[in-house]
Amino acid sequence: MTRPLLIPLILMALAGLALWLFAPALAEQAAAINLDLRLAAPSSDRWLGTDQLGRDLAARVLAGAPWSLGVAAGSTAIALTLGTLAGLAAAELEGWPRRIILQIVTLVISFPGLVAAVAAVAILGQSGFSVLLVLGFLTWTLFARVIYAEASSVRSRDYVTAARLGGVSRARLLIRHVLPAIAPSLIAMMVFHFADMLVAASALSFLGVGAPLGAPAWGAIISESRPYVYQAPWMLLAPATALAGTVLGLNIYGDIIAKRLGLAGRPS
Amino acid sequence: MTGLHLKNLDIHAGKTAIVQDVALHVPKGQVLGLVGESGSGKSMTVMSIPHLLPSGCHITAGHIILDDQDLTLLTDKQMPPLRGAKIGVIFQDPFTSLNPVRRIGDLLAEVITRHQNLSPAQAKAAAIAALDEVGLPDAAAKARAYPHEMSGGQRQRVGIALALVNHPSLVIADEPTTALDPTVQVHILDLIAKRMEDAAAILVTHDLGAAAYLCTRIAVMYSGRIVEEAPVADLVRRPRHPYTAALLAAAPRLGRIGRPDSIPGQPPSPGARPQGCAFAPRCARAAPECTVQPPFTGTDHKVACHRPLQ
Amino acid sequence: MTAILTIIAKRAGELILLLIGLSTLLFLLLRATGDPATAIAGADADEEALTAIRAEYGFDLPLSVQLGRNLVRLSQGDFGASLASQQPALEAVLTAIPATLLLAALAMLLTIIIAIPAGAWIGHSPDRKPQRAAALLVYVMQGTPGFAVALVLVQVFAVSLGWVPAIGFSGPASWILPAVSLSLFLAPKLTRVVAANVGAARGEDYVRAARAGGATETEVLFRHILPNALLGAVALIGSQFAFLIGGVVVIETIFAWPGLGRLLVQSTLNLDFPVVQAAALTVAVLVYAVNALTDLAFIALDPRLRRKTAA
Repeated sequence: MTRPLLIPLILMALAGLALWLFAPALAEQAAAINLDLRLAAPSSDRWLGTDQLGRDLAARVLAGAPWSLGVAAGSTAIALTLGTLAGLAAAELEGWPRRIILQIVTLVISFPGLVAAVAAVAILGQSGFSVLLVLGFLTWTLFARVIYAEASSVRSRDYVTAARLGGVSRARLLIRHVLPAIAPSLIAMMVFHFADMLVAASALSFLGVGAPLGAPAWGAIISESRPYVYQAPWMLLAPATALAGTVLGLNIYGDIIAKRLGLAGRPS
Repeated sequence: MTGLHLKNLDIHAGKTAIVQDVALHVPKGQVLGLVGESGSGKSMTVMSIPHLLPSGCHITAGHIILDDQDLTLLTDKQMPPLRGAKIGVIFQDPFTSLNPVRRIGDLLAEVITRHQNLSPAQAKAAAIAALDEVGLPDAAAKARAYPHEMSGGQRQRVGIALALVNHPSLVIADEPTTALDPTVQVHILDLIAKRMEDAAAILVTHDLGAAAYLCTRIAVMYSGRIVEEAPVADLVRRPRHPYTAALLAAAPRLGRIGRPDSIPGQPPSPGARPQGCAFAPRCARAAPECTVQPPFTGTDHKVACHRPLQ
Repeated sequence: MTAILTIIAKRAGELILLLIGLSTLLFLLLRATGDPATAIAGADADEEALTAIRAEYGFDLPLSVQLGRNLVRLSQGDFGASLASQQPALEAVLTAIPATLLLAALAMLLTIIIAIPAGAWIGHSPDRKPQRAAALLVYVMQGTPGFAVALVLVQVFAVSLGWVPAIGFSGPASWILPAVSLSLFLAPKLTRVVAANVGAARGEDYVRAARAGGATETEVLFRHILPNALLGAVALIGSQFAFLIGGVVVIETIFAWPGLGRLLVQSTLNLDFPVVQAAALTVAVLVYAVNALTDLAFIALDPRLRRKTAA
């Protein structure tokens, strides 16, 4: 990828690092209850206003970012790895190994996601890690299907057939021919998947799954805002805008990458 | 004046001139061949007649007179009643020019009812008759079929039926045989000749052989202009423009040993034409006077060249 | 005829394998989550009560035996009774299905009514200013999380304006907000797909040929472009509907809608395996059926996919 395209990635990594470094301090500020300032409108002091316990919403939204973004990143990493391996294997191996993989894919797709999330959290505890695992293990099939289709089509192309007839080993074929051909789709999918996982993680924390009680995950903050939406709409708007803005930005970035890499829009 | 007249026709795509100063006359009952390389502007020229230019392209000067009516004076909205009735178009690619989700009979009936006052049952019968007339066996079954169920040659016959069913005054055939097997091409050309009745027709092609087979006269286009126009026999035996001669020499012929001579170089892109004659850079006979655009002169055998052959 | 029967048999076989796999996974997962005996008796029940419960429900048998018994009962159509309410598990599910299906159908209908005309309008003249503004709006909407939008809608229309009830499943008025929220979530994608298909179809040769035959722009749009463009939309509609059946949990929670999603969550939290199994398997079967129907619709609508008739 050319350098300008990498800038957002670098910025995101830097922002992630900053959030991680400042997490303890942020958490402290986010948890600071101030009953005199309950449900205060946004002001120069408290840029996004306060919630029902007087906590600074800006601090809460920032403090909640690591949870949401971390879960999204981790689950995307798992889904990407598992899905690519499964997709490549299904494309490469003929006969019943392929059929088994495809059947597993169908099974996982049909599995009720919420049940899995609730169960995983019950087993592993209320933490971003359990949600991350569940989301990763539920969504790898999306990558697997696309990789399977693309890898299959690449394998049937003339230059790959020529290489195979020329005696190139399977592994080399995969690494030097198939992977580079599917890499653009993988990269674009990764960005879009990250955005989807962000929404999914927020939906789960909204339902109370995965975020420890009181933790300022964006979905949790949104959920907490429900009784007060009439009096203090900023309680809903702050985290909702953070979520929507990040997702939108990611989608735009994904589209730019897709166009740059020569794809016709979002893969799959 | 009957038949088709193109006078001083200019077509621009944005600011670039694609077609310049084209003048053609096709009397009723005759076929004019419009020959040239890809990009010479021949498709643009004919597609401008029914106002079917791609978006961004416009007629910027000149007149198109068909049966005493100046089509350049009509707006786009006024064209649909003429298309399919007065002007029929046969397209190049039979594999993509038929709607894949509609039955053949329905496509025909649609064109028929648009211009003739028939009941659905009558239109259906007329559609089957039209398919029969273009030589498709078992026309009733073909009418119920979908395009993908037919071969390329059969689909092109359908295309001809669609273009001619309302007895147009002008038939435009845009490379109708290019996408077909050689064995089928002659049959399609024969069919066009047979079914066009007394319409005027233009056959656009880059295949000189096809043009020679079907046409009364041939016009040669190069880089947006007509460079030569003459009766077929004259053009083929005594070409006057160096480009025409080179085209004839470059055509592979059975029985001739050795590579045909290809023309060195490329036609200029529309935005980068040289001053004067566009063919001069590739012309063996070029001279200093060729930096001025040669006039298109002649009576029966016209040419635009300062130093024509013979 | 035999060809169709073989396909049906294959698909049915696949489905059965799927259901067996699902059932097993669910059983193991729920077991790993916690002790059902405790869930029934309460956290501070004494050991005696727990042992009695385990004997009664067969929780003390080896896991493989429990799995086996479960599968056998399933094959006879016996889904058991809810551990919490003692009602037949299947009954609880069947009561919840209509609510979810109604919501899904309404949302899908709304989505289609909004997205197809909008997509056709945008795709037909994508370069004009109004269409470009609309495309941008659609793009932004696609990126906005559905449940946030739903909450805002509830706030404005139910709480502030009081036009419709905020939660619950009562008369048609209560259907509006949930269905609208869902369709606002689905419509952007469908609009974009329809717009893209219409845009692509516009440049096709057969459209030019239709114009050459004298078709007006309206005729071209309705008789030639749309039939082709909507083919692609059918696939998306099918998959969106399938998604709706399984995925409306958040909306159901926000609106206290008594559907399958809520049932699944409740029963999972209660470790009520029979209900979880019944609900999950039902959803799986419904989704499978919707996917199969979508495939059939494709074959019915696209003549190129049918067996070639002798021509």
